[in-house]
Amino acid sequence: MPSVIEMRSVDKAYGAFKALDGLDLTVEAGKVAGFLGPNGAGKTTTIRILLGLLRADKGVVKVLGGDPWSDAVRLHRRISYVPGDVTLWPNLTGGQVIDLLARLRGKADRARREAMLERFELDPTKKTRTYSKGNRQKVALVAALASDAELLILDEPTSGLDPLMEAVFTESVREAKRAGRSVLLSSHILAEVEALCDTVTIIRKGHAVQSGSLADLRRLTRSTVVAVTARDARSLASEPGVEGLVAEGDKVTFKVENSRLDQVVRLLGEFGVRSLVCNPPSLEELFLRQYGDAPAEPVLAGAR
Amino acid sequence: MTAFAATGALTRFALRRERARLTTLTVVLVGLLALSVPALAKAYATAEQQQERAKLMRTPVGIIFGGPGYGLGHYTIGPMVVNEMLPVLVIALIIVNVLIVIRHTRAEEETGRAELIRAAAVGRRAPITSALLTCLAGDVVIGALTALVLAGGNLPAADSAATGLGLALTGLSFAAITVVIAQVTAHARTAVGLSALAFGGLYLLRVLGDFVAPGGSTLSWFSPSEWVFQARPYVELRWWPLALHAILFVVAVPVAYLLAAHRDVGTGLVAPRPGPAVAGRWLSGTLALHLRLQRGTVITWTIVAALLGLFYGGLSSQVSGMFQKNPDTIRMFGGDLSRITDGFLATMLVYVSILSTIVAIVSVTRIRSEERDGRAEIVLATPTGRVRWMGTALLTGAVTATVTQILGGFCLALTASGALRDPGLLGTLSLATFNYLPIPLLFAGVAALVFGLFPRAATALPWALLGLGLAVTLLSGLIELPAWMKKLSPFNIPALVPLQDVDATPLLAMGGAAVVAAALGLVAFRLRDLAATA
Ligand SMILES: Nc1ncnc2c1ncn2[C@@H]1O[C@H](COP(=O)(O)OP(=O)(O)OP(=O)(O)O)[C@@H](O)[C@H]1O
Ligand SMILES: [Mg+2]
Repeated sequence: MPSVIEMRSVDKAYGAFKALDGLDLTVEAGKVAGFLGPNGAGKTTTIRILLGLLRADKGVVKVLGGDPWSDAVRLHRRISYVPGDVTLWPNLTGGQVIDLLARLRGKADRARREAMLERFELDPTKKTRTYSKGNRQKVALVAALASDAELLILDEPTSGLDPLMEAVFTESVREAKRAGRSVLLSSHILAEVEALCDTVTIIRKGHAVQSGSLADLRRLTRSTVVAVTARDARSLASEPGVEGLVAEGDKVTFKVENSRLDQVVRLLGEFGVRSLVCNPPSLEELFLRQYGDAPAEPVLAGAR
Repeated sequence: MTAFAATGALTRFALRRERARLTTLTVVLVGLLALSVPALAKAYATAEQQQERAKLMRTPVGIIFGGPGYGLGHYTIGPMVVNEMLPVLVIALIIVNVLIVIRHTRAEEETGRAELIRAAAVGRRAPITSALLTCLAGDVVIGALTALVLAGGNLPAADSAATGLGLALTGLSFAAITVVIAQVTAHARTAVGLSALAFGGLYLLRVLGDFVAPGGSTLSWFSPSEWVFQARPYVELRWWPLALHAILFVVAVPVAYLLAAHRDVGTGLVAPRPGPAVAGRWLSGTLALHLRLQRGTVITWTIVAALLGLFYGGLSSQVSGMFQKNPDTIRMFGGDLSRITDGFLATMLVYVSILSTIVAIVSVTRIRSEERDGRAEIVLATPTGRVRWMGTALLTGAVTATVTQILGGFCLALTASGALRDPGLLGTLSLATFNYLPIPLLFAGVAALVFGLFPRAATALPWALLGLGLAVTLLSGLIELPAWMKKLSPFNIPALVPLQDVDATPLLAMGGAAVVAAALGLVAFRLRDLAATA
């Protein structure tokens, strides 16, 4: 599978401050890649490098096979971008901005523009200074989604959208994927990532700490097991890979490393299982582990 | 009253934010005055010298840069200070009052900080009132110190008190006018522009009125900045003109309260109208975008340049009579007594070039705010190259400055050829204006270079350079400067056409430097990171 974005050991410093520190990031063609990390982790910096707005200090950066710094104009014909903080020209209307951006891109698809406007319920006759944050974001989204770019780079595109619009956005990204486009989506909204992304990269302090498919990431962490057994199963607590075992009557609750799950379930069977629930780690757990300084104890264990 | 709730707290907060600026202003203004009163007394010790000086005050330059010129029949240090020093203090104080009001009313709303504040137990009238109180505090201190300095300089106490009071009241009146203006527009920038326009218009009114009759005519009275001079301190003191300030204040402030009560936080009175849902065919490409963004600014400044041209062109037939016996002013207009009219017209073309330079700088520095606020980012993320984006901005600056220069020169040519009954002058001056075109172009080039190399200084530095150039030019009109120092200002470099013959060499040099600077700026921008704050 060819990759549309490839970054290897990329460094970027602002003065003495190192914003990116050996970052690796890959987005495969036709996939939706989630890009996550705590505030200030370097997501926006990465995206600006991918757009040739900033120049990487070190490392390899390839976008659609080209160098985003020197081939910016050529590559941008094939890329659409939604910035995290959308500022527009206050005296132009939303419709004017959308058209202007489309014309700067070279190709304007009238019908898609109208369809997107309708879908996002955006009034194009309003001056952008009178738009709310969410509406400014919609202007950028409509402009990006109405284009025929093969790569969409979206920096927290839904941070101002209401849940209804969020759903519209999700559907639009799915549609883009069906049309064979690739997407890099930076986000803090886990449900969105879970619903949309094929792969996920988590960065911290300018460095990728995890990347892979969601299933892969899950495998690396612990599941929560709740079991009711005929015989007392407390002794499992001493089993390697089992943690935080709590017993109430005939019910035991514990966490188990996924690599040991098979072994532990087998042992559990010997206690006479009457009921068994095994929850994969929630996305929140996954992130809390990766975001925090020390791997955090999973706090949430709700079914997802 | 709940409408005023928290006014005290807001005022203290505002004073805290303004304390550095207000202190600097006070020290500079009062210091300037304290130094110049004894200096004037020493330089113009005899009655003859003082009368000689009075003649200068009768000239247009004297009237434009000084006061109305009252008490010229028996000119002494008192009226000299008021006519010649006080205008500087008045202008500075007005500017500061305007800026303070905007900063604490409209700018607060625009940034959304006011929302935080108004969400607390803060009355509807509190922001306006606290802005006025902040101005009042500054004005009172500066007015009182002015009175003390004047009285300390052996001038009559009552007249000094009137001068100080008049100064403070003038500042406060403009604060009151600005408070109204700040209610009307939704943007601090527009509010500053409108206030500047109001102040400029009123100042022009005063100048015109004072032209009509020495000491001021009916027209002059329409300008609040005139009233302190009409109190005629040190000549025949009368207090009642100062009462006009009270009237203005009592009218303007309730109007502002009323307007504030009838609008929502953050909005202007003029509701934004919906616009086109589809961009016109013309709005395509970066050049069109730059032109569209600068439309308002450019129109304003070209109108100012046209008016300046028309006005001074019409005045040109009066000049030779006015300046015959005044060597000081002749230096300002080229230094050739026998061809004073040509010197005057050449100088007016230089003034037009100041305006076209302002247009050029406004235009080029705008790309920095586009970059800083993140609007450049969405354009540069499309297949628009950096060189194209910045290059079209530079082109916009060059074109709009050129239009301003040509239009201003043409208007000057129009009225001057009429007033002097010299049809040939129409062509001569319309061509002569091109002689000064390298000045705005050079500034545009330098602004581009600064933008490329030092984005964070890209707005302030070009304006500082303009200020420096203007200071040198102004100074070289007043005193004899060494040639090299004179040439530090780009405004002094082109030959004074039509007084002198065109000298192509410096023009080509300036044009070449402009092109090189712009090219280097483009390259530097191409090589650097985009520096947004977002
Ligand atoms: N122009 C700049 N100069 C100096 N430091 C900067 C600059 N831009 C970003 N930084 C710093 O670099 C780090 C990474 O910033 P970046 O905007 O990439 O984070 P982010 O992952 O997008 O965060 P968020 O989730 O809050 O959007 C932050 O610590 C930020 O303070
Ligand atoms: Mg960010």
